Amino acid sequence: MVLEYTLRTENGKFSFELALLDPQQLRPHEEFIEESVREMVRSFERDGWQKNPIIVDRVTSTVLDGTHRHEAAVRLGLAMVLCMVVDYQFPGIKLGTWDRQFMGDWREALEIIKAGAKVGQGESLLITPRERIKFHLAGMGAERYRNLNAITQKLAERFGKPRLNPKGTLSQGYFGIRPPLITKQQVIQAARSGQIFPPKSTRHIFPVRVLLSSVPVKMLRGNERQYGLGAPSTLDAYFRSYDAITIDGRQEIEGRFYEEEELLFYI
Amino acid sequence: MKKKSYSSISNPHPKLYFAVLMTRKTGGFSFPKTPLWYFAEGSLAIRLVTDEHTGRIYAVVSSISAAKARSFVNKLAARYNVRPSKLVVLSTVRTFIPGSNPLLASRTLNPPFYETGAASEHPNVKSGREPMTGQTVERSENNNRLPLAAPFLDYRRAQPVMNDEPTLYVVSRDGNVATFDKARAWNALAMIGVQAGRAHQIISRLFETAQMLSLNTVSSRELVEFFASELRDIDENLARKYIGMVSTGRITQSGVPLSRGDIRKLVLAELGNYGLKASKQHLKKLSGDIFDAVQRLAQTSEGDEFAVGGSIISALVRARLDNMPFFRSIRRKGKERVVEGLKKELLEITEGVESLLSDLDSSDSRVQLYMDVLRRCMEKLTQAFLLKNGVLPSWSLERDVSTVLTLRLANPKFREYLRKTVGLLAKSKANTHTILEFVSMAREFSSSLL
Repeated sequence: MVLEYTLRTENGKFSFELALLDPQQLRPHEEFIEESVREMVRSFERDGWQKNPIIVDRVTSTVLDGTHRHEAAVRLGLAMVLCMVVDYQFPGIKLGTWDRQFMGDWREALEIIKAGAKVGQGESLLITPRERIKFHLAGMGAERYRNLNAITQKLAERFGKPRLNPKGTLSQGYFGIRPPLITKQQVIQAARSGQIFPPKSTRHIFPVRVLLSSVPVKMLRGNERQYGLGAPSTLDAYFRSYDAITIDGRQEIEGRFYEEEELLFYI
Repeated sequence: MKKKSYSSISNPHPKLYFAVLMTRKTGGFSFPKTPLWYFAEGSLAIRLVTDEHTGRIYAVVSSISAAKARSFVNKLAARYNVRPSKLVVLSTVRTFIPGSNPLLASRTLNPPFYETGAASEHPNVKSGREPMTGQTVERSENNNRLPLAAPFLDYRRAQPVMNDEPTLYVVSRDGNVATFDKARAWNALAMIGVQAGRAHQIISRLFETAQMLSLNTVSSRELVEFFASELRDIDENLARKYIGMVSTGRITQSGVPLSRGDIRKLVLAELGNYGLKASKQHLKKLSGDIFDAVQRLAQTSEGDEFAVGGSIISALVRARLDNMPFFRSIRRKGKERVVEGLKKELLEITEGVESLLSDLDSSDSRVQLYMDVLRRCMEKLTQAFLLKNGVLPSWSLERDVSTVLTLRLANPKFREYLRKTVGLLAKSKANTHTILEFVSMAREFSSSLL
């Protein structure tokens, strides 16, 4: 089953497909958080639905968004998962990072950073309410992120679990760590080589985000033996019965701000 | 005095709005999943989907203003007996891309299902598989673009008694797959007044179209659209009647749409009054029959809503259950006395058979007549066993046996005995010795289990 869409966006025509792919064939580019995967597995089993598609690069099968959904699907032994297949090189697909924000005294944090990085110049930032202090981490790509992760863990031990913030604005009493920028090439390289990034290293913004495209997990198991059917034909018919609508993006829905230009819902 | 201008209020164009409404669940949180038509203050629900798990209503509403759309969605929630808690999204719909229906692909003259009624006049909704804003959105289907995880399998041919038509599978919006029930479709068409020959033609055309398109699975929505389209060719009113019948929201009880699930609950409650329950299959059949009866009643009225009273539904439930074995007796005498009666009957039959068979030679052709007696023994035994364990028996021995086999209470020897006996009855051939053995075992089980 493949449904193709083309939408006119700020960066030109953006094409994507909704397709069922074998989760074993997909390559993640960052690690998962064990707790989140367990929660995702529970959600799949409890609700019986895959609610949002995994976003995958058409050329390299790199998982761009949905690492935890992907790992949950692998653990549940699903024969296929619903994916939104995109051309990663489309200029409208932006790649950002997540600021790690901690509550506490940034001066103390600076001392911890100094122990693991060269402060004064570099590609990473300590963001305080007054200034931005650069620091340099050894290594390249995923390795550099591992070094950053080590520092973040030390900070978490001192200041508690960080909150992830995409916007970069600091709340009262907080300081932030901004990781170095990652390129699309590095993401693909990480997925290809298996030297993947730590969890929540990248933040992709797509021109369109597909929400509410629930697929019953029982269909994804591919075991429609009862009817002698291949699950794709069942899912094909299933999806034909839904209408798709798009609304303006860049708005907050249920406490989450969606930066995408358009949001696509199946209803 | 300044003259009042009417130009500003003349013919405002409606827009489509998308709303997600959080609700607080109440007792009767049960929503229809099929498209519904509601008209209120210039607003219309084009699509309505509910998520019972999270308590959300998703709606695409046609309205002349956001305020009216908002008020409409709140009214919609009130209608469903849920308390609106928070409107999470209310946004203008940028594009509306209707789901495709290959069954209608060759029927270009017929608009799809959702264009019936006022929706067809909506300026922003285009027909067919084209998106609403054709220049900005394209949707197409391509089965060869990416490798699929599992292969398509060939048709499975149906049993020879079902003609040469391949089996058609129907996928509902909740993901359940069922075999297309020809008899049920025929009944539905007959119920709205389609002549038998015409109904047969329409169903045949469905199979022909599916075969032509190499489709072995269709969605329930596609089926409804197909039938509505075929009926529209005969008479627009028939199409409307059909849509009214399949739209579960049309039949309401106390203002809330009535579902098969509601009826299932009522059947369970009625059975529970007498310490009984029913197997899942049996329950589905019973509630389906009752729902069909309500639908037949609904055909007597026209209009967007058919309100059915609780007392009518209760009467239908009672009437349907009274047709089930022993239910009437249980209501009068109680379960225990019915079981005792069955046990007594079983004992009488077995004793009679034993005394008669002992005088017969195994080659005597009359032995085969006693197979029927063995069947009666089995019926009494399984019925009594089911009743003893609080399960309502059916009219079918085979169905009752499979229900007993699913009961954890049944001991392994008894299960084995039932399997063997059903096998024996299916063969309908046995000698005197075998019949005597099975009959005496029936008596033994009767005294140990009942």
